[in-house]
Amino acid sequence: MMGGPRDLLVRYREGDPDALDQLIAEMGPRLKGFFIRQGAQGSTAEDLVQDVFVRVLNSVQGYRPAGRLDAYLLRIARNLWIDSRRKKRPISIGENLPDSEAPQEGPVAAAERKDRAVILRQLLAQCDPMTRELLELAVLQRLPYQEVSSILGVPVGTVKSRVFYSLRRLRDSASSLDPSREGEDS
Amino acid sequence: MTHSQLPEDLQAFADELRLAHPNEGLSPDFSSRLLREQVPVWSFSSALRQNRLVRMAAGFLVLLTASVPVLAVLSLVIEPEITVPAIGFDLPYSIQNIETEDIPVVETIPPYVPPLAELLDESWRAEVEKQNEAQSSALEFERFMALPAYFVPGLGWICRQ
Repeated sequence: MMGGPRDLLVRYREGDPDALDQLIAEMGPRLKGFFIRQGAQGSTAEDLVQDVFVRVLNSVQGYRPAGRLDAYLLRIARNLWIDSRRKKRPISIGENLPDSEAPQEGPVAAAERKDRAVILRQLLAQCDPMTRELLELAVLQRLPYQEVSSILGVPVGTVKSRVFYSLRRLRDSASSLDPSREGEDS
Repeated sequence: MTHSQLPEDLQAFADELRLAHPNEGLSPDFSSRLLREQVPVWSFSSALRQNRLVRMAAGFLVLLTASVPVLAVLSLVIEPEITVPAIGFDLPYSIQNIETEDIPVVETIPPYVPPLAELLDESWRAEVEKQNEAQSSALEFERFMALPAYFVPGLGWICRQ
């Protein structure tokens, strides 16, 4: 979703009634997934998505399309998430993820019981917050490294190398937990 | 896009990771709730467009603001007529008509000082000098008599002076 003359927010500001519906349909699920993967519960995630859109629509008159619109929305979402975490107690990683494992259950036992997707979700949830946020923006949300660098405030080269090493480490961990696919990913 | 910058093996894993994390659907009433929560934000431009009073107030403000430099320039260009008020008074009568006053001439008598030689004549002066010499001689004798003296056999009285 690129910013520019055909930007959905610009179209909405110019009075296009379908632009907002299209924006919600495209970005709403992505934003909700972002919040849930960061650790929010389902209802809280949807409230936060509401807050993102309210904030965007309230400042739509001063909006200037520069860069990607999805990066703009994800930047707002990240700031909102940080603000909401400051107001509440700190959570443990993956506490609210829907399919996260119980703490006493070992990763090997979980791997035997659940499928590959669950393993991947669990591994991502167990990453440190910085890595999780990085993979979320760069891999799951498919933002360019430049945008990720701008949102996270780290150099582009650092983003590239961290994405590369984090993905490789995650892939190795997934292979070790999934004996049926061991050797396929390497 | 980032996925094209990854190596192929990691690209496959990234796709797999993406498939394992599907996006979450929103509730059906999300849009209606969003419209309800949307607070109308006051902005000057929108108020200017919609409110006639705001337009009038803004116009008046602009007029006042612009009039200050204009008036300042005009005050420099157009020089005002300076009328200096005359300061003074009018005499109730003509100076020519003032009568001259007759002042009588006062005659003074200068003091007379007689010459000193007439007061101190030579005879009086010689008498005073004689008395002074006698008194100084008497004083010299009294001072000599007051000095200690020693009697030395064979030499007589010796005055230590």
